[in-house]
Amino acid sequence: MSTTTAAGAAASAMTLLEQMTDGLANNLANVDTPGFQSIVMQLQGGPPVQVARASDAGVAGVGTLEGMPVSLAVAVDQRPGAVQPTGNPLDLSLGGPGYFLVNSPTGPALTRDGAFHLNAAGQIATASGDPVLGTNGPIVVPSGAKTIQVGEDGTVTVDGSAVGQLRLAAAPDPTAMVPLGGGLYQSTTPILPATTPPRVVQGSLEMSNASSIEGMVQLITILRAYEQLADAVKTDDSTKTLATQSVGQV
Amino acid sequence: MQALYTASTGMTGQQTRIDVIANNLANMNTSGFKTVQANFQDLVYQTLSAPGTTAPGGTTVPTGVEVGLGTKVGSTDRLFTQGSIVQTQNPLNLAISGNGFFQVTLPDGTIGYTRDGSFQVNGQGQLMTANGYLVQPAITVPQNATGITIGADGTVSATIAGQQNAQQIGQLQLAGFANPNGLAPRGQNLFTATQASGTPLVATAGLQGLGTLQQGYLEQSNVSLVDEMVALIDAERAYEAMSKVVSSGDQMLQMANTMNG
Repeated sequence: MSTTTAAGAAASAMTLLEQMTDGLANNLANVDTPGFQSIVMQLQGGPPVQVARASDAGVAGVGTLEGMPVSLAVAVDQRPGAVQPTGNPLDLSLGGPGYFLVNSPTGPALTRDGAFHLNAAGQIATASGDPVLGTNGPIVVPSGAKTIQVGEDGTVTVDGSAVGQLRLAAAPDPTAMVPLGGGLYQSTTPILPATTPPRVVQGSLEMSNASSIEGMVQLITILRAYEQLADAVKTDDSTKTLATQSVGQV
Repeated sequence: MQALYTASTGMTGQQTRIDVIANNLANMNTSGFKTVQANFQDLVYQTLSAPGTTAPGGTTVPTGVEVGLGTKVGSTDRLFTQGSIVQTQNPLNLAISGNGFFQVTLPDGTIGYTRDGSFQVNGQGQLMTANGYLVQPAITVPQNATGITIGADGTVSATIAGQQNAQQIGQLQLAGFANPNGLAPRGQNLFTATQASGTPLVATAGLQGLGTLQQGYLEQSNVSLVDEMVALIDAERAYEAMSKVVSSGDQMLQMANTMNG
């Protein structure tokens, strides 16, 4: 046994498990956030550790050991959440893969949180006031409007006349999505228009796709793995104690 | 251990949601009350590793690792769905069947909007709310009137003692908003217009998408006991899940602290 790797590798894996717990806590904290998409975190193994060559004389079967996890891979869970009817004309949900486009302070962003409002400029906007993008820029609802209707194709009709059409983006690669908070995501790959646009459903909201049950199961799994690693560090420590204190004593 | 703080944002948010639910339940029997829903939003994300950096294994990280810092109540939205309409027999009780609001003059001269049509008449015969705010357009009931009839379109007629035909004494109008969710609640069942709600469209009841009036009826609150109870259970369980995260985080810290024997 190398004197440094066992405890060191266990400790770095423990750090990764702590980060996973942080991510899990965020998923669980957002079980009631409309349009929230969970972050899926996966441990990624390091290079395999060669213990002894299987061809060596006297070594049977032992070749390499799986490496300890060295990094986390994250992706956005794009599964849809449950849809809840609200009856509000500016609550929109998407019936299919894809995203609304929002003009965020840091550029165009994707969202499935369709709890929209009208901002001070009369534009259809998120709860934070960022305008939702139509095919011709933000969609302005004229003041004094009586009825707002949003069709399945995203056409916004105010008092019988169309004022714009929502721009719907295709779902990017789940690993290319960077969450910004406020239900917004940026994409590291170019945002493309949806080839088969999702159906826009007025008067309903898509709820979070985070699941308390899945989260709790993951939490227990992480906790037990963490416990095992902590034990491994302890064992390593007592082995070293033996080596430094007992070996050589008569 | 960020998880502890992230979980606490979830607990705070669920507490706010329970406050909102409590207010809905407390107003179950408030005429014209509209249910409020707390809407959550996720907070900012912390970048643990940026895309393109080199992982300990020597590979290039194709995507970064971002960990979110929790949640907050982003907005509280009102559901302007129709409440059930119940008969009261009181001729000065009006229910709106459909969209729109009654207009009343507030003490500061601005116009308030309400769906609570439990009106009364003061000493001068003026039509007003239970709080004494005059209904707009003003309606004055003659002192010698023996009966009042209010039509579906808001036409107010009074039967005067000794006269054969009822006499029209005014016409109520309703105000409609494109985004009623943007109205600011003032308590006492009143709302005021904001930039978000837009300017009201004032018209005769039954016209231009506005609802009609029903005399002798009141609109009950649209609070659904079942929905609120389900939301309450949901909030309670989410709160519980958060407390489990806090105790798990605590256990992890404890394990880390006792690794040296």
